[in-house]
Amino acid sequence: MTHSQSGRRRSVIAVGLLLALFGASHPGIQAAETAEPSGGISALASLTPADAGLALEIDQLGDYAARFMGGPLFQRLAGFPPLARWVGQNGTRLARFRGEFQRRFNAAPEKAWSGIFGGRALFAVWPPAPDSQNGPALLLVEARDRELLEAAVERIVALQRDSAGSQKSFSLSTGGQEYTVHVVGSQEKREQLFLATVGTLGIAANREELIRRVLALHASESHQEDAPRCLAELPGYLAANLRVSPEAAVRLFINPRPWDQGLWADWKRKPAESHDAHVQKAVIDTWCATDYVIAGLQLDGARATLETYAAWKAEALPQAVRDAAESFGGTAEFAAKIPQDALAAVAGRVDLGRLVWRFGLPAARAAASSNNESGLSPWQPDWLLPAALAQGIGPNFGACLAPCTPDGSAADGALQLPLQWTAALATGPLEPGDRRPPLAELAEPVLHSALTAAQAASDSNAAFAVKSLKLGDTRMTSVVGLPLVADRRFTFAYAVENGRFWLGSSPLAIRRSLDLAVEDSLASPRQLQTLKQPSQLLYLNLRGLRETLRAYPAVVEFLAAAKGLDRGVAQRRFQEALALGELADVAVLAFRLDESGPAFSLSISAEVPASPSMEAPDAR
Amino acid sequence: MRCAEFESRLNDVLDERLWLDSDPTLTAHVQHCRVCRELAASYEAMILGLEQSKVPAPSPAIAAGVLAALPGSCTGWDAPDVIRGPFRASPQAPAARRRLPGRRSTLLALAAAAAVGAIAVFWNTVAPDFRGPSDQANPIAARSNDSPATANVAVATSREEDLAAGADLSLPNAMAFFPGGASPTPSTSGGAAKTSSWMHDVSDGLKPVTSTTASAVTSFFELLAGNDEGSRS
Repeated sequence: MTHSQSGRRRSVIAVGLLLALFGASHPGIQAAETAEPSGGISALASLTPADAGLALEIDQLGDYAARFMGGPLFQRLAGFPPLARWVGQNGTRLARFRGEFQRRFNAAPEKAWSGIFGGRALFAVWPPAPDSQNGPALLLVEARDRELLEAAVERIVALQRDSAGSQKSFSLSTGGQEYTVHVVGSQEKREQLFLATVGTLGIAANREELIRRVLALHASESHQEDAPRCLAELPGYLAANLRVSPEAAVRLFINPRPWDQGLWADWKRKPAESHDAHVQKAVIDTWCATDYVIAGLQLDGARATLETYAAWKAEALPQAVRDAAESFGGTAEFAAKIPQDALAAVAGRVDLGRLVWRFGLPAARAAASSNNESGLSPWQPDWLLPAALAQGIGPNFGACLAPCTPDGSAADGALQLPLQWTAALATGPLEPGDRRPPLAELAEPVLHSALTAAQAASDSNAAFAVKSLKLGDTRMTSVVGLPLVADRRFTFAYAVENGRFWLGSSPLAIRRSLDLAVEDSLASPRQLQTLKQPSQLLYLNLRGLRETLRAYPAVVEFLAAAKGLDRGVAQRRFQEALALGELADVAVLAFRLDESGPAFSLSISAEVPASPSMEAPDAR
Repeated sequence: MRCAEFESRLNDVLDERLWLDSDPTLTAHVQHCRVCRELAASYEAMILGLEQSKVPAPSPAIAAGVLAALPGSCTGWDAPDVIRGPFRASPQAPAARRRLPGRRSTLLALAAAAAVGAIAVFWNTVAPDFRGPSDQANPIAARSNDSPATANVAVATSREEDLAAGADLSLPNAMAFFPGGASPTPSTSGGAAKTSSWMHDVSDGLKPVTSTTASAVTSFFELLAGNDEGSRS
């Protein structure tokens, strides 16, 4: 067997063992009697040296997994076509890994999972020394079954002995306590693993120094230094854990500082003026401005939520990153204008003016300079107008699709969809600090005049009408049958209110959004159940979409016609879309950027949060 | 016997649902070849692993859905061959030879077969559009014909593969249905390429973190899993 074959095989086995563990967590696993998820900072963080670069913690994952797998979301996940395909392709391999685990450790993976990993576990990694490829790594396990833990360690030692690997044991004395440490290792790669058990605590480390430090922490050896000794004393770790839910079953903490040296060393190896070096410099500067990164995964029967937070010092960020962050940061105001019964919605912020002036114009200047060298015009007129207008566009935008009841008033059997849509765009003055009106208010009379002129110029028999009505200070305009494209007529409404340009399928659709109270909108935390005040938000009410599509086959016909698909293809894709949409009832993707750093949340739920009864107004 | 022949012959033995010790040549070889012994043990582990696998609980709605969808003349048991396919009668080995986990309960096998049948009928009648080419390359499921324990696995695997065969249910395909949805063909647009390049640049910049972490994790769990070193003749 060649080295590469041997390495590949061992890699497969290592990955297999991990898969076996995770693959073992099926609904058959029973929650332990005593296990109530406790969340928060675990005792294992008190045994992990503070200079760890990364720590992955699981907390009562067995219980969470059992609850999740007994719930409706997992049932849907199991039937989700992409996942089912993967399981179908790898089911045999997973079964083999389970068997391999049983063979090696004399215990079914399910038993090992609940007895050893069913409580708390922490896996930490340190950056490698400059002359080493693999960094120190540590696994701490707070087992529920002490005997099983000890048997597993004995089995690992026995396996090593049987396979002619190196194996020895020694006693280690620290803090007045004696510990037995087993050492197993690979002669080929000259790597060693140090194993110890202390009651229900299992420790595995690939460096002797590391296991000594852990045992010293366990023995509560006194120390004189002010610096934090363990993760549980590290301010970044403490702050990070306050941000994720204490109900998180899995948490990943990244401590950026220990990695700084390795990143800079890698950067120095690149040619100074190269593109790679330039980009990596910005990446490392951002990394160095980051205090911590933490991610948490919450699981319950009907919902799974992944949340990620990073904390940075905004003033230490590279200017380009700060500009980009400020362009996409802030609170998406239009989330408060999206009704809770929306089928699909997006709301966000993009400071187009800042992006264009910070990034677009310098790029155009660079392009113009190179063109100038070849005798071409130093500027291109095609980007001048967009660049001039960009300052007045945004930053807030939003759009939503909501159900409504067709009123059957369409003439000539024209299709009436049971949907209404609304889109909104905030605008401002064309120059910062300008006291002139926002762009939308400047553009509204121009647009209205253009439509009125088009109506006057059109065939008097054509069903093209432009009507306006005044709602307080807001003029709402309804356009019916606008012949924008050959054979297709468009009906919509628009309005300008406080510098915001509204476009909708009907005046009523716009009116509904304008009058919406915050507590009846998607901005209500109860509805989103995710990040508060997101900067970017994508909301999908998959159940509502499915029900609408099933109840109104005409929607499929309409979409097929819009896409130019034949009936068979459209029906098939419709079925595919429905199958994919069966995964959950609600999916919410939210992103927030502010001075403290970026935050991200992805939540899928098998139930739609109850919303106050809201009657969708009829709309055309 | 040489190692190169061992695996093939072992496969033949396992195909007949027999244990290794039913073949004296193989037994003799593993006495002195540790690597082949490990290989045989890993096959054995695989079979044991398959035995442990649980049958996924069918959705409560599936039976009603299947019954509702059955054509009047088709009962589901007399129509599709695919139902009987995975459970067709297999050649019997001599009773004296030690067999892999055998029949524990005809009832259980029938129940498992019924589940497969229901799923097969469902995929053939209710959702014919979801079916794709079936995957024949599952020797484990194929050789588990009349063993209840492994038949359970066959049920699970067959269901999973049927779902997998549903197959061309891909997000790009489905999204292409909607206005503005991307074409299922790979995009080569400049925007996508730029995004990809940007992401690549960032991930490349963080390689000293990501690659060393991956390397440390792999190395650590390799050690934890134990060595499998050796050479084959």
